[in-house]
Amino acid sequence: MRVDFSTWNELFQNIPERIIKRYKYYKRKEDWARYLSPPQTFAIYGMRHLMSLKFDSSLECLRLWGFVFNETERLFRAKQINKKIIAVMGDLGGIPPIIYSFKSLIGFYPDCLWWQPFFSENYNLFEITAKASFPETSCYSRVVYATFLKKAYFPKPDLIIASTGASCDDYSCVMQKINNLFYKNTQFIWLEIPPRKEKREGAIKLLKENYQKVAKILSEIAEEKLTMEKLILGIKRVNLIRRNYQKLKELVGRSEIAPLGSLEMLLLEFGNLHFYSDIFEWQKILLGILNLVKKRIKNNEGVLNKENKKIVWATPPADPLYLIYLEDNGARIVGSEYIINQALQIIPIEKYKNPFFALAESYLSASLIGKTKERAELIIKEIKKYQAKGVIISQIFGASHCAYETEILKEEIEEKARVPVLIIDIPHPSSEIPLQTKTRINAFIENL
Amino acid sequence: MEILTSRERFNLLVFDEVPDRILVFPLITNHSAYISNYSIKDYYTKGEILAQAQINAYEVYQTDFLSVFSEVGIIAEALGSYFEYPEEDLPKLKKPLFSNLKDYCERKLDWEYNEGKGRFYLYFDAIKILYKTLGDILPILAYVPAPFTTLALLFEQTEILKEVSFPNREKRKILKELLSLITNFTIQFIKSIINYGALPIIVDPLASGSVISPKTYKNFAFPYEEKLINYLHRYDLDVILHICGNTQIYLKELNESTADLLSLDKINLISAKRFLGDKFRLIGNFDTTEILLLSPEEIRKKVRNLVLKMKDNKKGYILATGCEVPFSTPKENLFAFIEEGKRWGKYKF
Repeated sequence: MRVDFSTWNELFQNIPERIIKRYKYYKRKEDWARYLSPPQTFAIYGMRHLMSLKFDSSLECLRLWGFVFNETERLFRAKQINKKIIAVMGDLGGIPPIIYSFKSLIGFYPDCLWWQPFFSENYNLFEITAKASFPETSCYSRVVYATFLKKAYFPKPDLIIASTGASCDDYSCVMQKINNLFYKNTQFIWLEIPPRKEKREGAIKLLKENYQKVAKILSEIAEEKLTMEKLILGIKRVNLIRRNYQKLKELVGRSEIAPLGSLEMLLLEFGNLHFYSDIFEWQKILLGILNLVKKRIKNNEGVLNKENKKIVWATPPADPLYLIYLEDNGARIVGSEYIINQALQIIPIEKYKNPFFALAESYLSASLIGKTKERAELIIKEIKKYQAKGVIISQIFGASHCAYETEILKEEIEEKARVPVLIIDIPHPSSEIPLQTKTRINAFIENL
Repeated sequence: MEILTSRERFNLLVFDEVPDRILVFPLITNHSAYISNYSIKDYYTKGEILAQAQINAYEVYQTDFLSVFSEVGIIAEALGSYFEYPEEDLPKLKKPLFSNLKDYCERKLDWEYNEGKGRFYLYFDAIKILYKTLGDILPILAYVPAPFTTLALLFEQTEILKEVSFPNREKRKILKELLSLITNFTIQFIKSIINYGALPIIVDPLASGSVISPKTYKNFAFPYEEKLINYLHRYDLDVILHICGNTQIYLKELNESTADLLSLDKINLISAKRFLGDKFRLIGNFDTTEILLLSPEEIRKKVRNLVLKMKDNKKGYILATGCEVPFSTPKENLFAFIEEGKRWGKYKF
């Protein structure tokens, strides 16, 4: 069942104390490691948008929400218990399997803080960024610069890894500005991403060498030797998560009913990137939801109207309210292309003796390092697989890749998959969706 | 412009991190009506006026919290005690619900909670407006009287204070049962506050050491404060407990509280730091008479002294007044308090 904010407050009253205290991160026993809190807790600490959203009413999903929103505190606690914090920017998927092969390292994605202004319905991060001369016509991810300045969203990283080469143009500027910041005593390294998938062998070799260099630096920071066995074990753990997510996505997408809402699926998909800074706990949360979905399918229990029209969503919406609006108005998201395809692929460790090669090959499936037509193919594959009737592409206002690729995507999809495509812009943070956009979404769904 | 918003600063504090500076929090309540030229009666009876007055006060003073507070009888009133609201004076308890315990035992009380009771609307209307307007950058604190204080306001005060000070076995049982019922009712109120986006702060002014003994506190106040704290901890919220008046005489009992932040009034805070500072984030405690009467220069000097001695408290420190800022406090005095607090409260960041 999908419930609103207030209903979760009522449901939370029925959860026994022992359950609330059961779930803790980093396998710690202290009270601060708890994370099973309802949306109200995070709303009180400033996440105002939660009041407008709808949530899955299961304990499994409460666990998911609590875990995701607890991440800022979790990172500070990690530092307090002497874990080393590695910020990974712009890479989106290749490095965390290496990081999580070390016992004392925690990897996180500052990039994901682009959601912060939307969840808090606040412009402060944008204002700070504007003062640093970032134009309004650049991706919302520019707010990450402000989070580095503020030092209130994550502790000082022990290492910052940033991508260059075939990386997002806008975010590249953000990373360069961060590099110029005051982070004395914090090592900052650039990782080159190869631009073309056609030059496959060269690209794999370059990536493999880069990953090896990163592993060496990580090893020094962790003061721990990285053996091949440890790396393989780390990759296997990541593969298990990715495999379970693939199963989940297939089950949700192919099911006649909708066993899970799109917002929870979005959070789960992004969990593949960095496991919300605790891979072991994330593994359990994901498995819990996979089992929940299996049970719901078996019992024919859905969270949306059966008649809702199936669609594929491309490019992650900066404002999660759009997903809720879509579902409330007769659509259902069965497939997605959220530009993190590389984090969803199984890393082929069986194929290579050297696991760094496997990591490199897996990374080459990245959504944004090839031609736009290749990304269109990813979307078309989702349409066919889940028999979607239409596609929505949300644009990130000001993001350069949206400006040049969205129209090409639309043409390709309409021509090859023969389904209609709606392009919408997600404006700046607000508690409501503009009426004009609502009308366009409604009309689109009506016509499917 | 400061680099952190008050919310970010408060979050760092409760994560056990050191923010850019201490949070500064003169307890501005009806003083916000004074600077906005609103009548006190409107402030205590209209949520939109309370909210607007708080917004105005924030714009003038740039403090780190917003306060939603009527007087401590809000729950007693919802249960049936009668309060009067003079146009230009603080609300007064005109007729308590019961005259004594015997009277309570002879009558039946409606314990069913709903948001429409008494003046609960005042809180909810105010919180909704404040949350929408400033909730992204400022924590909103909603003051909730603890059960002992509500108990005292359901009765003729001299009568009930006598009863709790020297109860026989039978009366003790009745009092405990009644306090449990008040606690459950208060929890429902807290649940609503949480749903509107404010952080409840538990206040227990009538459990002050100026009013009751440590033994009475331990028997009739502390256990019910703890029940509210436990309820808030279910949500993983950071709990602020504020006790007015003199608490010096039951520091030992206070140290057993499971609250996360202690807001204290008439106490030597610097010496209390040694005893309580490893466990609690301390809030306090500039004298409210002094903030009204001293000159800005004298206030600056005293704030500086307090801040420099308190800012290194192990679990953190928030500069505040010991209790509510008096209604007609000169603005200059508050400017002095806030500026000096921010100036000397900076940390290496």
